[in-house]
Amino acid sequence: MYLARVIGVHARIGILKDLQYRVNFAGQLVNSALGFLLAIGSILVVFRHTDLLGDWTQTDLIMLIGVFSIVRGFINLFVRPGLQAYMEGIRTGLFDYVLLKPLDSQLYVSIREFRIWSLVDLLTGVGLVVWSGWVGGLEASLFTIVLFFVTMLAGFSVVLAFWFILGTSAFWFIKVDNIFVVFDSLFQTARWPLTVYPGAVRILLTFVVPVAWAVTMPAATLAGKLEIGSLWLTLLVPAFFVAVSRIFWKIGIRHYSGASA
Amino acid sequence: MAPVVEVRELTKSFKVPVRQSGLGAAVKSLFDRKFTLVDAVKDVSFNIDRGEIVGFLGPNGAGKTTTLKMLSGLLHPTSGTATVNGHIPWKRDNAYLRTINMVMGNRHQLSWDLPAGDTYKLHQAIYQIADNEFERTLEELSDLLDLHDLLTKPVRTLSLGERMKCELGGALLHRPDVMFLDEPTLGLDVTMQHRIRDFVRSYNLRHGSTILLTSHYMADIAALCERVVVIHRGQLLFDGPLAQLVARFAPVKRLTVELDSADADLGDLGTVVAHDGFTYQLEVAKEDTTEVTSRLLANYNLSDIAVEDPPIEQVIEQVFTAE
Repeated sequence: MYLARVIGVHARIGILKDLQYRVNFAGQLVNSALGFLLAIGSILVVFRHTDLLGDWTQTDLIMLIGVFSIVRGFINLFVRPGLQAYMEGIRTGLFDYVLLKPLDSQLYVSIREFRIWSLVDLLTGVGLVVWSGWVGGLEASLFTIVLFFVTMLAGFSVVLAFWFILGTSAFWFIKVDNIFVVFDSLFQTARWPLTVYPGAVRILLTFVVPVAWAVTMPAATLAGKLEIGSLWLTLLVPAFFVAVSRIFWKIGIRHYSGASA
Repeated sequence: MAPVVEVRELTKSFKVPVRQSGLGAAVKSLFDRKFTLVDAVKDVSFNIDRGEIVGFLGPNGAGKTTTLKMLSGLLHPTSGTATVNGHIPWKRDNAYLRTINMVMGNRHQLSWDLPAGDTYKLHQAIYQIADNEFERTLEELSDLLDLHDLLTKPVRTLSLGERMKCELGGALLHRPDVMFLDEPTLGLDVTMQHRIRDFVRSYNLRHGSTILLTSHYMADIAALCERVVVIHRGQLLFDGPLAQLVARFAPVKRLTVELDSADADLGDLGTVVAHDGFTYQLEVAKEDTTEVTSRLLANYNLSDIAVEDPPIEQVIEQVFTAE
């Protein structure tokens, strides 16, 4: 209840701020449209030459792109702006004010900023998932739908935790803006299902850079490709990354030396 | 009554990278960084009682801000202990953080693009302040700080002083009973410094809150703090009433005399620090004050005489430049 209220007020402030800069909305629309066309385009090119990629059909892959877009929207909605503000705060000393607030600082950093226009990406993603499910004649049971939301939630947690692990290095290195570029490059691996990668890379993309895993799981669930045997990973991978990010954060705060006055 | 703030042998050292200037050294330091340990605060101990306003004095880099930051939970000390309101600050319990706040004159937390009133709503949610209580506190703070017209304007359109008033208002919405003010009047004009000072004093009187304050402006400290803590090179140099600081560190008294002659030579009585028409200012060793006064009375035609302590800025400067 408390948390819902704090998130609500911050989202409201975020919307108020974004409404002051309406041009960003147009920018976001163009950006999303380009990302969308590029993703769909590359799928169409691949499927001119083959009918199946691994065991993924063209519609399955469009569904994957939908999930990819949802996750990207989620990141840009508040993960990236929150972490960006946090890193800026470490450099300028404004992070002091985050630490002064009586709520968990890691939680506060994740909900503090909100970029409403990024909802465009998120909604495009939802649209793609629904559309591809409809075209592909998907008959999802209630169980599948619940499982989709669970894997989606697992994906969000993993991505958020992974951003924090990267971002926490700012406590030591102060200026780490390049990390965003690194993440964006890594995130491109999530455009394709995990199963198309060779074994070693697959493990890397699950346990070291879990972005592809985070996107593949929900898409695989809807496409009926999720092996029940790998379901335990849905709990384990997020738990692992969240735990690591918590530990990093706690150590980082102890090292925080503040920007000098 | 137990003290609100108890500090024992608090020490904080920072690891500071060292390298020569120049490109070569910069490249070298990418691979082989050298550090030195700098003691920002060293073995500092003091107590502060509820309702006190204590001023922290010291030159830039003396360790005032570092001390305040440890007490507000922002920094972990290297060694030593401290409790504030019964909590260990750097554990940063939510229960602790709800009873304190810190305002920094060089850092503003209000959102640049929005009116301060909007950001206040965030504070209300974070500190879980009930609506009626929020309204009441806001009303009181608006009266004391004269905020009424400011709260609806985007912060970027406010002057530095107006912004500081809004910052202070926002920081007090949850009625903290310990406040850390780090240079709250930094960069403000004299009138605005006055306003902020008056506000801090009346807030302290009204709510009995404990206030720890650092300032470059001696006038702030002189107006607000009965007690000062002097920190120099990380070490505590003095802790006591402001008047005692002057008595202890000023070896001289300042005599202002008015004579009937504009060209008297008072050089053999003491150091003439100012001379304007018939008015002379002399600095005399403290123990010689009585003797010099009687010699002045005996040998000159005096129309006025005043004996004072030298200006406090001067005393402080002497303390800090003395090795």
